Amino acid sequence: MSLGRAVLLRVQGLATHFLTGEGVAPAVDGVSFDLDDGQVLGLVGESGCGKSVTALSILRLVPSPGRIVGGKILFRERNLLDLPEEEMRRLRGGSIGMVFQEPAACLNPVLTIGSQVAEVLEVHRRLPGREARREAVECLQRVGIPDPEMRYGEYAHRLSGGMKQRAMIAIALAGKPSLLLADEPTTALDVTIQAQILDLLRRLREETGMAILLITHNLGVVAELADSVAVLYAGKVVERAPVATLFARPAHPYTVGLFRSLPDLQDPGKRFEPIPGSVPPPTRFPMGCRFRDRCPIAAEVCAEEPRLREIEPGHLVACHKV
Amino acid sequence: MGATSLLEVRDLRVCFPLRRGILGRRVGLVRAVDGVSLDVGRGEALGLVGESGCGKTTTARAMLRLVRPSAGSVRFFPAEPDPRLAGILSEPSHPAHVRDGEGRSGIEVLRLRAREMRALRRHLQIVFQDPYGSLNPRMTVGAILAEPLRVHGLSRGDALRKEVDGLLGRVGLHPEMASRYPHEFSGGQRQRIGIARALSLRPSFLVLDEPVSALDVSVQAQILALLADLQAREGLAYLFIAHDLAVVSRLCREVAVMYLGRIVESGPAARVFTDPLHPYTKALLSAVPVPDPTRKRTRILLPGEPPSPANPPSGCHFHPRCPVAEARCRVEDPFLGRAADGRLVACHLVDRKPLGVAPESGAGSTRRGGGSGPP
Repeated sequence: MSLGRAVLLRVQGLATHFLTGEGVAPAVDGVSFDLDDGQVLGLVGESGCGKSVTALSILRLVPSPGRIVGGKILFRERNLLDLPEEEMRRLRGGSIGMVFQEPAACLNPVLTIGSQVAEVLEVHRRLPGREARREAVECLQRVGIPDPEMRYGEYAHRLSGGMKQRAMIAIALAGKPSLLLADEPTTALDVTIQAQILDLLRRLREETGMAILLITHNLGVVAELADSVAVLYAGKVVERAPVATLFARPAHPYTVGLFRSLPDLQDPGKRFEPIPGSVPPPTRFPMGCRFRDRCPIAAEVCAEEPRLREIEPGHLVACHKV
Repeated sequence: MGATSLLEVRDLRVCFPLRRGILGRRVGLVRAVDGVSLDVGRGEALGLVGESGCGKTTTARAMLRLVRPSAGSVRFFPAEPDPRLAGILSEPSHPAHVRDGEGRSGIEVLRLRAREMRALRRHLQIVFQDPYGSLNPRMTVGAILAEPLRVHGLSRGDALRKEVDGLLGRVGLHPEMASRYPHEFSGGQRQRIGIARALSLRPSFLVLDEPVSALDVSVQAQILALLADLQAREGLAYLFIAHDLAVVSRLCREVAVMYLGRIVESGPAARVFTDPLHPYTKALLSAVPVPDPTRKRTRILLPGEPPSPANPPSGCHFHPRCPVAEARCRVEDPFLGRAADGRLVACHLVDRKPLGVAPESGAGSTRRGGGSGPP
């Protein structure tokens, strides 16, 4: 997407389906995007759009009864879907770091924060115990945990939400990732703490040059951090563009609807135009364009599935009517 | 604000004892709400914003006596007559009888006996944040909506059924949904059911405790539109609690900002959000991510996290994180005073006048007196 950068992650036609009692749920259904080295791609959508399942698919951690049924996930040109589990395990927490929404649920409650960072260093970077400890303290410091020497021995429950998230980020950083998967990293936090964490992610990205796949429902967070955006709806990418383009000229009716749904602090009198209805459950996605039941400009042609096509350089939209 | 007040909260305090050990020895006191005053006008929406733990939910719950306040006053001036309250309103010797400056009689909510409080609950209702946890999974939606009406003896039989149908219609749901169970509904629909339940007793005041925080953006917009519509059509007054400032700006004309149990700034939302006076309000606003990548702004990044209300800082509670704190902020508690444009602010660095003794009408919210010393 930008000049002269290598593609770090290329997701091609990814399909992850869940076999449920009510039929097949195509939670992710033909999702494609590229993420270049050192870039931040925002993956945006509402609950049930498949953004988290996409991240789990990249890690090959899709929970049962979900299965990756198609597509490719090229990380540094190697298809992750073909790797033996052993190699995959080396990547997770190593070259591919992860930060999730609920740090409380992801941190081990019976291990100290420091030892969880040190574990990564021992496993992925083969540092001997003492060195791992020293470097773990450094990691804690880099993510802005005050008193890192002392905090090393602290357990997760003793930390606030913001500090837990910093600890999660420290664990992810310890593996020196070139790709960080951040799934709603600030959603559970207060705005002032959210601002601190966004600031931290921005700084770390500059320092380490890692790319970030930023999964969020918050368009504000995307605007702050991302270079480009992919908008997901019902398991499909409906629009993809550089961040400035998408915010200046959203094209897909769903994206437009999302923007119109946003309250604006600067403009409290802004007219309210919510999108009617809600995202259908994945077993009942409509045929053709999946947004057409809620779309204000849907027409007969929408019974056919729209393909992503370029409407201006770098700006792709999956809509017949655009 | 201009509207006659419906609820007047004065110097409300809620303390929770901090207990330790198997004997439950009291080792401290958490001042969750530390002298909050608010006015909610008839048909007006007042936004109460602040970060988690600042005491906004506890304030609202104390107003409805869902938690026990330690001190303060909550006066309710009914908008419509209610025979069950007439005894209090017309009887000056009743302990809960109060009069406002204009001679209207009202009710001191905190002095009501349990039975009287039940009668009052009809008028003051609440919508909770979690649309999953706040509906009984074993009851049909119809039964959930009918229960308050039956309990209060307002309706029965065919009339009750009709009332329930009407309620569902008012919140944009189909009457035939009455026979379904909560799990069959999406988050947004459940929140509509929660709103319908709160509306069933025809209250004049609703506490909306983060009613859209658990919802997706597009659904959130639908619920906000519904709430705005209900307010306009039925003259409901809201105390809207939210941590999302943009959502508050959508619905509320007046807003109060809380930090660590106290109100630090309050006034018209249009003023507070575009030209904040208190350094905390400034920081809070600048922290909100703006969905516009071209908008350049200077962010005030607050260091640290809100301190625990069990052990609040000396002087101004905000001083350890405040970018402009001075020496006196560390020792002296700033009083909540009136700034030049009529807004209320509690900051040493903002020009403000002490509030008069008489609560002035037309104020969004007031808090009298200075800080709270040790007990």
